[in-house]
Amino acid sequence: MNPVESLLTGIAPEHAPGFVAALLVIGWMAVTRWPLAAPDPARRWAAALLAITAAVHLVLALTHQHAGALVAVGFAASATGYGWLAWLARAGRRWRLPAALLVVATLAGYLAVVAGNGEEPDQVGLATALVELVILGLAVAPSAQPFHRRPVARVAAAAVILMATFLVGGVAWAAAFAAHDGAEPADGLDKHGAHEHGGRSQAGVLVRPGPAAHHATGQQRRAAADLAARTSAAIARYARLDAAYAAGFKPGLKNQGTDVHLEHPGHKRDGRVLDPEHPEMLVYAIEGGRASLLGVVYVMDEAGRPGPEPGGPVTRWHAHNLCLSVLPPGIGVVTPFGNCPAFSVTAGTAEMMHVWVVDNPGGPYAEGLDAAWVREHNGRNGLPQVRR
Amino acid sequence: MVRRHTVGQHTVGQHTVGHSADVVFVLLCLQAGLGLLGMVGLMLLMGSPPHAVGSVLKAGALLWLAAKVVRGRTWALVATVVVEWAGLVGVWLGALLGLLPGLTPAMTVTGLLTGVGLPVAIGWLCARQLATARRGTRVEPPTVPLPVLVAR
Repeated sequence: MNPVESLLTGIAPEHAPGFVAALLVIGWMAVTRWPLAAPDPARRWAAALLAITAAVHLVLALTHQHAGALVAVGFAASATGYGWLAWLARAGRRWRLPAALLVVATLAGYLAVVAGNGEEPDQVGLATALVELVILGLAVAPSAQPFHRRPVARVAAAAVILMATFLVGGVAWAAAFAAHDGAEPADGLDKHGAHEHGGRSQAGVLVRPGPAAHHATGQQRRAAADLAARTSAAIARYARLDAAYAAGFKPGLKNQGTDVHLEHPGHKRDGRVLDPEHPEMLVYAIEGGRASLLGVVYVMDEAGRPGPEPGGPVTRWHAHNLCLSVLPPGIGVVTPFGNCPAFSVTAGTAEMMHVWVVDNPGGPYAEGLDAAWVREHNGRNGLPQVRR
Repeated sequence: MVRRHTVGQHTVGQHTVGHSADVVFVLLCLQAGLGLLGMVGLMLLMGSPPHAVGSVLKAGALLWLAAKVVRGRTWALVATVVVEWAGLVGVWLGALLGLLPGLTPAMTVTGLLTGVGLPVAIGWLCARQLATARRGTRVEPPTVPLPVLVAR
């Protein structure tokens, strides 16, 4: 997935009009200089951000009619509230308390929806949440007027901003992970049985949109089953961890846990794609002195090149946008807000696809395995780990 | 009496400068929070305490700078500009790293906002405030009478 694809894929189709509305409002404000009529920079920023949020919510009210009257009315009401507050801030009137209350209510509603599996957090939702966090910060931070220094209030404001960022980011992260690691079978349907629009680009996971939303054909299902069977047969020889080491697989940065990935540097550069005899990675559970082979990860040689999908919507590839840390060296997951920690940079990986060879509930092409299920499986079937 | 406030060696009207500092304060606090959230992402995969050190130190430094910017310290404005500029260099390094065969530049809307938009906004506000201090004049006269601001 190239950078432009990853940028566009992260926007859910039903949220795209909201994104366009935000861009239009920004353009309108740039031309008319509407927020500059506010008496001071804090109010100008607040007016501009409130107007952007109002526009996004207004458009989402129109595009979320299918989600029920309550959702649509909620969006319309919050849009009205944000628009009114933008006008108050611009006019130099009191805006802080109602803005803080409205932002808290809006963010709570958003988190309730994503945490309750109502929808997966997308880039428009997360960007709007980010804007709302700035509005909340502007609303709770005391003015730096010389007669109003109020250091305690300022520390409290900083604490509110930090905690709100953590809470919103944490819940959105958990929701995005749940969507990626859900052990549902991969068959082109989402967890509600509806057709997936397919693409995803948040919280460390990039998935290209599928060619078209459809069920796998019989031929595609047979191809997927064949690939899974050939993979299972070919890697049976690596059931013991030491056999994998002897064959040239090397552990990555993590060597204990329910998803330890062993990489084969030679297989990564051999030009073969989806070759069960030469998988790029093996996945093991290694815990409590026992190890069990869980499956493989097929990886494309070149990042940005789409992988072949013999099983159609069953055999979907994904990539990761990771944080590559320099000090100290390490790999992290990009936050829902798209940022990385200090001394690290963001980069996307080549596309990859898991094929599980264990009897997991989601089948061979599930996006992930449930950690509790893996622990139980490893406890029952794990082989004694030979120390290297 | 309008109390005047020092930004470094320069005396400027407080109205506009103070409020710009309010915005910088909020954005720096948000950036600190985002950095700590990023630390959690690193700890999730690496699980070792040394990986938290850099993020905690940077978040602490950002919060400290936020407090000093609000108090109008020129050196804090300069340091903030330098920190944000370094952050933007990191974004370009990431883009260059993405040219390697096994990697690709990954772009998202939120990534652009936090990686480019936020540092540019903070750096621009601080640079503007520094320029105001150098000129020794207000950016613009206050449009709201002081008693109204005090009473807020």
